[in-house]
Amino acid sequence: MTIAEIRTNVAHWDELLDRDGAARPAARALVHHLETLGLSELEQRQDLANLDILSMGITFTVYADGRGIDRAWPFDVVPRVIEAAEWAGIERGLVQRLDALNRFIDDLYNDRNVIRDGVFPADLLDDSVNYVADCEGVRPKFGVWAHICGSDLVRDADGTVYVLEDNLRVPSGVSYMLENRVVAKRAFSDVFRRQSILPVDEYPDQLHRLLRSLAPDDRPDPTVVVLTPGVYNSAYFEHSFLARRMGVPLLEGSDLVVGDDDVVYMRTIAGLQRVDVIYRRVGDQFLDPEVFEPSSMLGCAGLMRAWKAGTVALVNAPGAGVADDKVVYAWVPDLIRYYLGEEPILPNVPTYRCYYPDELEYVLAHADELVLKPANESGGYGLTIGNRATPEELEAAKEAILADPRNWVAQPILQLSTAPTLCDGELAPRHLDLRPFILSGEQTYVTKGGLTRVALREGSLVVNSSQGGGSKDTWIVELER
Amino acid sequence: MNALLSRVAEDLYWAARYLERAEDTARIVREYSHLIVDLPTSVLSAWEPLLAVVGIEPEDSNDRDEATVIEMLIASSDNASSIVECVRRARDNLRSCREVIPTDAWFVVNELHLYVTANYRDGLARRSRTRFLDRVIAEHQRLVGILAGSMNRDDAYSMMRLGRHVERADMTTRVLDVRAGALMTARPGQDRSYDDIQWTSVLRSLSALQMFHRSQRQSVSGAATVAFALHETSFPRSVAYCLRAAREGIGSLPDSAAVVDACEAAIGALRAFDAYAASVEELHDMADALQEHIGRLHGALTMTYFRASVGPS
Repeated sequence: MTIAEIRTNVAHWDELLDRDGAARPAARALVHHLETLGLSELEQRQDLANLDILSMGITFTVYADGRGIDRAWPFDVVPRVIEAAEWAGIERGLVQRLDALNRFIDDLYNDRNVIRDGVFPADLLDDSVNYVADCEGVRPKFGVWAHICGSDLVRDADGTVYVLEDNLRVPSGVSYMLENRVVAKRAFSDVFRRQSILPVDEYPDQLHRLLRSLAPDDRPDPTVVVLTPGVYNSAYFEHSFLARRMGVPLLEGSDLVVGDDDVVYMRTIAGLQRVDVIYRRVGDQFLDPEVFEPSSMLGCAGLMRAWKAGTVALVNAPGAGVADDKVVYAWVPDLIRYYLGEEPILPNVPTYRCYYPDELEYVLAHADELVLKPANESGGYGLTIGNRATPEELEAAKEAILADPRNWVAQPILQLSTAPTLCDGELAPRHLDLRPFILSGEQTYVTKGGLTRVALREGSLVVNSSQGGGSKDTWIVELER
Repeated sequence: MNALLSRVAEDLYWAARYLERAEDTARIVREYSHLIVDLPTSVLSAWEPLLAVVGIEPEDSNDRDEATVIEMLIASSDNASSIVECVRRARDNLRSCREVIPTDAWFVVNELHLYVTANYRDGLARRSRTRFLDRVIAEHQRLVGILAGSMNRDDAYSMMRLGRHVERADMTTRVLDVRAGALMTARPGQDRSYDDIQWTSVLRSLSALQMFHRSQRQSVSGAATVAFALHETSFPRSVAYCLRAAREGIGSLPDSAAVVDACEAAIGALRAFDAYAASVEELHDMADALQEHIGRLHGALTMTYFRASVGPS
């Protein structure tokens, strides 16, 4: 289809076009440009973008046959557009949400007022796989545990933007947001010149500033490092990218050693050098074999000891993941009210908590109309979409829920919004989501837009790049008054 | 500024060695491919000497044809020093230390990797071989230019410069050992009328011919070639130049006493050698000794920087 043909038949909420097929105000210049270009010119620009991605070495890693394979980053040349005024509201909502989540984590590991006051049921913590008892009594700087958060946003059929989930452990994708912009600027330099599209490039500086501010005892000129599980990790490209853009060393676990003095050092050609702040992209369970998985080679023995002694900052803090499982998610609106005395600015997707018998009963009775989500899976794994599952798959999911109701939630099936996407030489509407990144320390910062992920198959709602999803550049456009 | 991580130092050093090796191999193969079509088959027909240069022992010698030898040097994954393999390893190494090298430098290596992987067959066919090898050489030159023009003169730069010069000294020594050794060994009844062409070719495979003429004011001969390639300190591919450059680079690194000693021992051994008086056996011994010195230098680097296990101070 051409863009003109799509305009005659807009079935879902489209990010570029309204119901009548007219370009949304912020997307006017882009839609006009797409019409002028025509399909074959658009495809040429897509080919050039693909070449850029190949020669710039923008990759992600997938696993097959037990080994990691480097794949070129899938990028769709047609951008997704959001008006700046709408974005300002979303930004406020994200900051509010992360503020409440950080207060919640700090409270859980210390005073537990939220439980005493009856807002959050204590027994939910009993089998939370992300609760780290070792963190009890620790008070990180600024009271912040989740310094870097990637929240997934989706837009439903009526245009409402919902938070689908919060990633508080080691959220990834921000490097692709930045690289997508580089590639999109080359492909659409003409549109960039004619419009006010907010820049995204300041993220690495903001991140670096945040990390430096987290140095214990405000040590001057702290040594900040990025810790990666290594080249076989699916997000290795990003770890390397961020280290490069901040100008800090990229470490693997074997580069680190914790001394008897509970201080973390890295092995350099000038001997051991003290490390003050670790932006770790290694999950909690692999971080420190003294405390977690004893066979892990990805972290470094003694890191938790050093962190608790206050000699090093770990970012995000261990244990922060307790607030990002899909069960805690259901309580976030209550947490916002409890800690901040405010109504949530961004709505949650209505969520049924199998923890409560009446909600469990509803879920079992309406499984075919719901998305069934296990609490602690990521990357779209383990979830069942009720109206697409076979009867057998649905039965299996129900059995799993009954066996462990605490660990399941269910949500209505949303009609994710779409945007025109280039597939096999034709434009076609494809479903998408958006992952903005929120930084939190003494101050907060939200990316201008985020990483838009798009399901490349017709009708598909699965946007994860590990499962065949693509990505788009995201434009926050200021309208001229 | 942060000190360089030991792991990163090793990756950079090896990446530079691999890439220099790829370029040097390309030069050698390119020149030999030209030479062998110029000379009568009675004088030169064998391809094995090329394998000897890169340190592959010809097991079932004499029956290795051009296709087999060229495949081993350019594309084989069995040969860790083949051009494709060197580029792949260099890319893998640099991928894990992209934060310390200029972005453009990474692009060059990444593109070179894409190029050799997709086009190595061009290198195998005689018709397109030169074009393929030219590209490998040019891309590495481009990389060296980017590093020289846009990288901080820090420990990371020193490590790459060191790797490049150690490898180049090593390769120059090997080329002399194999090619000069063969030429200097007089065999009864051998046609010597092509010797000048062959010595010229040795210089050319070190990209030394034009610079030889500029500085030597004499015609090409065996002893002059050997002397130039070993001792000429103004020529950047000579062993003496490479060792001095390595010595300079080491000087700026921390705690470098042991490495400096190893490097100076190599320089001393080289200085004591008189190319004009040496027999073919002495040249061969000298080449062996240099290889050992380079090996010791490498060992000192490893002990001092890559594998240092110092306790917390």
